[in-house]
Amino acid sequence: MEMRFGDFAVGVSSSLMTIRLSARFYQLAPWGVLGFFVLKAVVSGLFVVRPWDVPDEVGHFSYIKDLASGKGLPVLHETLLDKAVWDSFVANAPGEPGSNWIAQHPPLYHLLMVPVYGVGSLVSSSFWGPFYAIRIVTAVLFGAGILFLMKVFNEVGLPQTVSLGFGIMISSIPNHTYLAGAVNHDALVFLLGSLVLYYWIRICKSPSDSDILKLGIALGLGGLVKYTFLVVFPPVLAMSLFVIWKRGPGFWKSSASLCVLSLFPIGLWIVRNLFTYGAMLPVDMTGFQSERPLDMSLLQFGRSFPVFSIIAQTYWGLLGWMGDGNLQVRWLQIYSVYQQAYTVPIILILTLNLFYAVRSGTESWRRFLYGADRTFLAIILLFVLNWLDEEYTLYWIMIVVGVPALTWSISDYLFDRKQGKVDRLREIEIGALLVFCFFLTVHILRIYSFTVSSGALQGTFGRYYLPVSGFLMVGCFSYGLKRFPWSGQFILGCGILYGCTEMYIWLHEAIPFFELYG
Amino acid sequence: MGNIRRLLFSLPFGILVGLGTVAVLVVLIVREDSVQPYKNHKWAEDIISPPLLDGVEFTQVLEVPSGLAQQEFLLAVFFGSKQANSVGSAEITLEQGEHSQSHIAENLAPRSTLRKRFSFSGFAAAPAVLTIRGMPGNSEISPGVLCIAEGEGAAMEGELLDQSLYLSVDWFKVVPGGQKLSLRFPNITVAIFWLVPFAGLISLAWIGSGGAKDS
Repeated sequence: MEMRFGDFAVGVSSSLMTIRLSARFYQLAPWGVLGFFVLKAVVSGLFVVRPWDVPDEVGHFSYIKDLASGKGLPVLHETLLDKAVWDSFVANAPGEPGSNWIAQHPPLYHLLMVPVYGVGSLVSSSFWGPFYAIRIVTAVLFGAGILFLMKVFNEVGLPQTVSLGFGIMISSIPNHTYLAGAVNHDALVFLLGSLVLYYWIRICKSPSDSDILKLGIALGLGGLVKYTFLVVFPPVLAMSLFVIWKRGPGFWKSSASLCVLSLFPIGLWIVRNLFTYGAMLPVDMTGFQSERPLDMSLLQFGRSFPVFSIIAQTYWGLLGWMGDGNLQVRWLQIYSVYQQAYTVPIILILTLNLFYAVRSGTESWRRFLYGADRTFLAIILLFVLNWLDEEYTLYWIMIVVGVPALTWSISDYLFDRKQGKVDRLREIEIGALLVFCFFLTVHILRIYSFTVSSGALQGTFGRYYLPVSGFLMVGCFSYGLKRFPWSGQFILGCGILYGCTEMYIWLHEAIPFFELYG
Repeated sequence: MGNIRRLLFSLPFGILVGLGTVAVLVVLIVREDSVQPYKNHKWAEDIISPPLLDGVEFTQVLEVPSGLAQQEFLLAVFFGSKQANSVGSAEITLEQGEHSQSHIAENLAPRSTLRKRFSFSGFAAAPAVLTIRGMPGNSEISPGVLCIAEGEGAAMEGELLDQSLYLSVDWFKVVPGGQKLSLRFPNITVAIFWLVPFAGLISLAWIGSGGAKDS
């Protein structure tokens, strides 16, 4: 007996139903991941996460409502939060609306949500219809970002099983589900970050005019969502222009299209800002000024705060905000045991990198020494600088494994290059790592400047990394996984671990947390 | 072997694995109460009280938060000592009118601080008196309690105190495990809709791993 179930060939054999796994499964499974992620985020956004319990949600929604009701773009320090929205936000602590600090952000996400607001208005006379409609569409945007990241992993030559496993892992991070089911522009940042990575990789492999245009559009749109995205511009543009230049013919035309498409949208926004504020990219710095600023060097700063640990742990999950109507921020930082479930697989993947880099070095003494001396220097530098003094043990291990793993694997590539062997995909992986490192460096410098002026550690949210999380994965995880014969099973196993952990976190911690203050 | 492998990683078996995993997790999770931080002590420089010698007691009037009224909650008290070999026992009592509950914490050995949580229930959202008493056998190396100098509400009272101090205590809400699914979801259908994606993702991972060597 033979029957069809979608594109799966399902048969009954020896009275046991089996499915023949085919390439079609791995083509369709990412859509399954997308569907399940969106469903999870939508139900969480509709029923679990209270309104205004996502950072800045009240500001983003007020921004959209202003646009939808024809009030135009809000002006930083002038436009107040919408009165009806404010009254709901401060239900237990009535007062006059404050100014909308989210007005500092470029408007793309908010403009895109205006039609959604209109559709939501059809089902509810209050603003709750539009509010939840926007949460649903935002979940779809985030899901699309995951789908594109899975395509990215295929593009860099990772097995389809690993791409699927990574997709499931990304779908099972509490912070992702939480931010997806919210009125917040981070989902669009994530989607456009994935698109930029995808088209940048395609250009690096074979720079077609169509992909160059698409990269320009993705960059241009990303810059119009959040200023953080602009940090991706210099390394991605520089590397793309280099690739186009190496291609030869049509350099000026292609590079001009790329630059115009990526820079023109933010250029328009800068012109608007200059007319409105007299500044190019004004931001609200009221929370970052203190009468007692710190006086410390960058080195002292690194030694005094567990910066990397805080960024990493808040990337896994920092839930909650001001949803209880009392104007008090209440966070749920997921506990250490859950962080271990998310971090240990990363440490193992980095260990694979180190193992295969060292094994590659055993081919010859010259090759071994080429990797070993650079790695040794990196480790010495790491400990001489003492930057890890305050890092939490789990993340200390991750960094101490990660630095030699990446240094040795890059040295391995450089050695091959010296021998005249060029591996285009390896170059792409290292390029992706450079983009991430550039972003990390800029962010650390920003945290330092915020911290010094405000007198306390500031600006360490892991969600800031959403535009480059794909770059991090391609840059740091590909080397070892491409060489490990059981990488598919390993990553899919990690996907199951992540899925179980996320469910445990939501049901055991997050749901009671969101109910805690009534 | 080939048939068994095909069966193990088939679509129906994969769905069973996903649903089974989620079902087992749900059963485990709803059997366990969830303890959530409700109200933390004020951050300030810690001051360790004099040691809890036999019979020495410190009391402080605490306001039971309204969200914890008539419910089970945990109250965390911090013990501390500068002695490396500090050890001792204490009795912790919370009283509100006629309603009183006590716990005995034995062999407290803070290095240099120790947080101990005690379970209470059935208190109204009103002032209650917390008493921490040193037990027989305690000595000069017994721990004291952690306090701050600039607190809110009533100050701590007790012998040996030569300055105004306020106990550092944390409040925790205990959410019964059986209530978790009904806390945020209006009915079982919605709860199932929320659980399905977890099962689906686990199923996809399971089925996908069956073809890992082929791809």
